Amino acid sequence: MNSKAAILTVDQLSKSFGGVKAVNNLSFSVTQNNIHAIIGPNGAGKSTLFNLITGVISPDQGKIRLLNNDITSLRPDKIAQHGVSRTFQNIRLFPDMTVFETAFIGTYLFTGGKLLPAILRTKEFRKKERQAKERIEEILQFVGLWEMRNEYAAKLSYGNQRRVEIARALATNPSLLLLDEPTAGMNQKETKELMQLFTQVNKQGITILIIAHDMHLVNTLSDQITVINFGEKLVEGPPEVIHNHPAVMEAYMGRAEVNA
Amino acid sequence: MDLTKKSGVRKAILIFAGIALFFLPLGIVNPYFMYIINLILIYALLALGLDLIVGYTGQVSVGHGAFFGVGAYVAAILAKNFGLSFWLTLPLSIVVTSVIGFMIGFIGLKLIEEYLVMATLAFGTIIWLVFLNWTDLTGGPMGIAGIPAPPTVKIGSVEFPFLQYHDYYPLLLIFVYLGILITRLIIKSGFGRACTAIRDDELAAQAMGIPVFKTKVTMFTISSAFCGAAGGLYAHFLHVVSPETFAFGMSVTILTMVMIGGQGSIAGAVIGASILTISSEALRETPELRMLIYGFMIVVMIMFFPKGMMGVFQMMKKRFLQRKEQLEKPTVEKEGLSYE
Repeated sequence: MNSKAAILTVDQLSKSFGGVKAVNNLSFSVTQNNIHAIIGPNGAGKSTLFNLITGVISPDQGKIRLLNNDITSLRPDKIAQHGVSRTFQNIRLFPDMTVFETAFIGTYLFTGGKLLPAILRTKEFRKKERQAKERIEEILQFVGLWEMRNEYAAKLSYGNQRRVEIARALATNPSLLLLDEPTAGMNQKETKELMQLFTQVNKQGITILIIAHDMHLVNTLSDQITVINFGEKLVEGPPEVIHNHPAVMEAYMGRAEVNA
Repeated sequence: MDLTKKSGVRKAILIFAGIALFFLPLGIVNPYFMYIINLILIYALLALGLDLIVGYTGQVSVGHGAFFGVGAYVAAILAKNFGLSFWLTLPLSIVVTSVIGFMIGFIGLKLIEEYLVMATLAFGTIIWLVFLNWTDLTGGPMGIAGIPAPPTVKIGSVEFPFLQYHDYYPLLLIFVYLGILITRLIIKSGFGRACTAIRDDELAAQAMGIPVFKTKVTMFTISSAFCGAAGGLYAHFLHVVSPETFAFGMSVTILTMVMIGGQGSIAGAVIGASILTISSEALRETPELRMLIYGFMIVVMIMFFPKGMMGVFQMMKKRFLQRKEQLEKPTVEKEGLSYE
């Protein structure tokens, strides 16, 4: 594993909101093809970190590098161009679109948004549209939504809505996929099925950075875990190391009584 | 497959209806009716244009009446002062309106929702004040009269002069068809999909790599270009432009057309334009009542039929199909629903 290069490097990243240091001098790196989990108690700065990486907000200090490119403070759409895609903590679908249409939005980077070829319906344009449709068919088969492609995405079950989000993210052809609490609010069956899906996605060569609360999920799924609290890194390591680490126990359960 | 056959039949019917519409004037004797039909066509072009930005991109503008005015005044001034023919004034109205639309969009679209509405209202009013007060160029409150008709079109040895309302109809219809075609081509493309994604969820759209601001400004510019075209046609059709036509009320009228017809629908824009043009002609005697009724219509539409007349039609169609299905198949097997 050590031979693999880091795909994402976060270097001394800081972000404050007023007096609150949401992310404080945080450094870590994500190894290519890994499933890397970020865990931490509520308010630890996990979502802020995601928003920093995806460009929704800009850091006060520090650098974010994707392979050899500096993506710090780039606009979200530029970061998506670099091959970073994401799902949202509160599922964000397009309310007026079917499953197919929603996933199709993810092909924007492939088909492009040029007007002239669209109005002239050039050969190139039609070819790309066709290829994009084929790709979406492939992805929807892969995530198991092909049968529901003509239903409105917002009317599906919670677990399937998450699948739509993942399909849409996969359609951008990402090298790094960020999942922000993907199983929050799911029942056990849904969680289990989604975990299988993440493994399959990972097997396709897509690095996954996942925020999670569910310790079981994190332990079974991830290769590497970074624990953060109060915006700072507590510990980092493979699940075996993290599982019984005293600092982690403390952050989650509170300080142990040291009465002799 | 059954589906492609069905859409092929639908396409054939649409093309046939489209050609048949060219012969509509043959059945209409009264020039006043022809005048109203021509107005509907111009308003349809406006509604199509506004729908691009309001219906498909979700950015509400109440300044498009002013873009309509820019198109009309540019055509009027170029035709009157410089003696340019319609075939030159029209493209130039489109270009000038697009440039102004782009500038206003570039500033205004940095704002969202109600702030954007306020900004377009302000810009629209500024443009209207220019029409009203720059007397040397625009003729002030008197406007510009005596705008020449388009030159006679010759196809082979057949001449099509523009003498009466009936003669303008095919020209206007062609432009509406062009507008519909361009709208369709834009909507069914990566760019069009990006616009609807922005309308539905800006943050999610941006995360998918869509440059939100650029896409909005581009669509705003195209939308104003439609209004510029409608303005140029209007000036040469009515032969007179005056500022009160392009005041705030016009922007509201176009917006009402889009809302009543159904946002994000080509047929909706045309239906909305028809309903409002006819009703405003019917209310000619009592113009004060017009805005009152429009306001009431908008409120009713938003409260009960947010998707406009097209939404009502679709709902009726869906119910009809459901009932048909129930009658044909009393028990629906679960496996029968699969697509494979």
